Amino acid sequence: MSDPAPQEVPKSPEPSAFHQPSERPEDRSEAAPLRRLPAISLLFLIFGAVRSLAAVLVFVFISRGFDPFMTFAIGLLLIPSVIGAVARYLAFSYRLEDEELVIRDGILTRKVRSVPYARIQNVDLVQNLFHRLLKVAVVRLETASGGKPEAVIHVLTLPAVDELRTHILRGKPGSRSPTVSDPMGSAHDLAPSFDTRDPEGGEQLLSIPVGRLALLGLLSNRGMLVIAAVAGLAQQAGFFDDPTRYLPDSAQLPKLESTFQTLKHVTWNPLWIVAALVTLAATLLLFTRLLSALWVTVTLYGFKLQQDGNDLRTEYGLLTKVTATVPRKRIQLLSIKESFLQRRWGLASVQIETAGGGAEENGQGPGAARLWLAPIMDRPALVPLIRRTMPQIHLRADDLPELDWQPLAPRARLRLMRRGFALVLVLAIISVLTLGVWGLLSALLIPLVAWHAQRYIQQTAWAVTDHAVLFRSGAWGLRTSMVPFAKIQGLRIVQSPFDRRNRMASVRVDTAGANPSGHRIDVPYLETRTAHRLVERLEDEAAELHFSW
Amino acid sequence: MSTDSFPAPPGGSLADDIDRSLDPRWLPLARIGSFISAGILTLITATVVTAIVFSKPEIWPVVLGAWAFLVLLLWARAWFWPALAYRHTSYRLSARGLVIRRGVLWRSIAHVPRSRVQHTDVSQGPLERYFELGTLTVHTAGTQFASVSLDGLAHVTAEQIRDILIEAGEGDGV
Repeated sequence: MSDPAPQEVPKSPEPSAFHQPSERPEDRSEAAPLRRLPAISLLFLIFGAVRSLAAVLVFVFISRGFDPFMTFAIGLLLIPSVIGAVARYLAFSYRLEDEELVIRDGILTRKVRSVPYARIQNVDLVQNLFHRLLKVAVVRLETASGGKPEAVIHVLTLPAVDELRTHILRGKPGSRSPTVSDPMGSAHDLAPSFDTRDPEGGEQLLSIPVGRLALLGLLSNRGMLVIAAVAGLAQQAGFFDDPTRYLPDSAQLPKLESTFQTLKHVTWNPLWIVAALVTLAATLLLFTRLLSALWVTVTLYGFKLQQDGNDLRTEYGLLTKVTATVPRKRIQLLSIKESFLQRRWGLASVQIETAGGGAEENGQGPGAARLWLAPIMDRPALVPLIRRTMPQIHLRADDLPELDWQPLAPRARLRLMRRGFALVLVLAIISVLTLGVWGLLSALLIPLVAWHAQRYIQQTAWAVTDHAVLFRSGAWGLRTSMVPFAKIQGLRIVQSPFDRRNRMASVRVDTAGANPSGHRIDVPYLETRTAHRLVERLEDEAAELHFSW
Repeated sequence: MSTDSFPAPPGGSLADDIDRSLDPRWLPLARIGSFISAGILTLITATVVTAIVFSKPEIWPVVLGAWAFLVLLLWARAWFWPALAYRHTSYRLSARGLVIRRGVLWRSIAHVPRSRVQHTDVSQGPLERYFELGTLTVHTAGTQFASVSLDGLAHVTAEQIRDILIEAGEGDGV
């Protein structure tokens, strides 16, 4: 701060109608006014505190029935947590300085955090149903430090979010976009559209109709996730604690026994059993796929990808609405997935990784290391989308297969098959020992193994263009990842004893904000010479380009 | 692989793209470490073996024999493994960056481009101080190999490498 003249107190061009600058005496010297959370925020803080206790209450209620004493005790516990919530609300304040956001926080240990706008990677908003009814949002600010978001603000009104965003965008050199310097005319009329900044400001790159989302759900296997989640909830609620209560009690046993007796006399046609099993499997599959379609449609409802100057913005969600803003330059890796079924329909999905990625508590929403660029899209539109979102790659080919893909080592296929056959052999020995002659059926796996190896080797390849390194792999489906040279953080040649015997090695490319479980540049089964050449080439390219977040 | 255990020529830079092996003083240090872990393992297995021998005295020759064999292997490994590891570890500093080669069975060669070095630490434990050795840790903004560390450098060398890497990394703000 060079000259904090007291007359210049309202630094922001748009006077906020929602946040009266409440200045304390000790803050008078500062240029920017102190801002507090809106009063609604208190509601959410208290709700959050109560919710954790409500889970305990429900658990007690289910396991012990209604117990007035326990209810009262838990009610007593509620008081300190509500007081804590209020104290946290009162302790939290922030200030929008010229170049940084200053957040004051903490009840016993006062914390003052300053986050320079230039270092903020992503600004993500999350709105669940209640947030949307009350027109507020949870704001997460991510910097490159990885792990948890740098700052999470529970909750801000939408105009306050706009104000924050405006400051962040203005504070970032080079990302000044016309929509931002424009004083928000339409922003304060509480439009039904969530994007209060300027609905027409960005150019829409992609929007996915509901039918497409349902198709995506049918083609992917997210139904099991839902079932697992429900089972987890049921277990927490104690439904599995006493399995015996689901068994018939002794009064019903004779009846059951007679049923068994009649069943015994039925001659079991093996065909019937097979038919019954197939029907069961088909029903289960259909059910999980329908669940999956429902799940995907609800979580990704209204998916939109917009480009606003150098920023990409995605928003989606029916119940919990998520908005994520990612500067184009900060994309570290782009990954395309075409599953076996998606390929039959000519579809693909695209995810990106940013440096601000980190662990996410519940697996959805922004902050996850991987963000959707397009959960589902037509394959032909892939290259145009990559050109728009990652111009630094300078993708020249009109389609990805036209790139100069380099195959793996010639002996890789043999190695893969040998490994597969060894596995089949072990399986065969075990099944013959346990099932007898029928175990020999496992030999049927041999052609499958051979096909898999053949297919994997056919598809898996790497490519180096003038600006990026690409790797694609897969047997049934296909995954393709690309990293611009400027985002390469480290390189590694890895050689297992088996690799060494075959004079092979694998090459791994490290980037910032990488999701360990996702597909990345990790090229196996290369000739040792090729691996060294590839790494030297990439090292040269990376050393020349300075890394900028 | 041509390894060169000589320090940089006087007046010359370490960044000459030549493979260097670790400081020879690393070998006794590593042996002390592996002897300590071998000793702990021997003690733990000894208690288990004693328990077995007391509960089933009839099989004591088999148990003691097997144990003696394993312990022998353990100490042989503790003696020979550091020498193997020493032979398979080397580093190379050049204008492009730092290359670290290591691993006896599973080998890896890590390349850290100079322009990606975020910061560098040189640390020294009590034993390392006795042998005048140091550990160099290079941090990048990456994820899987966010930090690469190299122990067994002469403390002076580690500091030299750090200075060279810092020099190159200047002006590389976040």
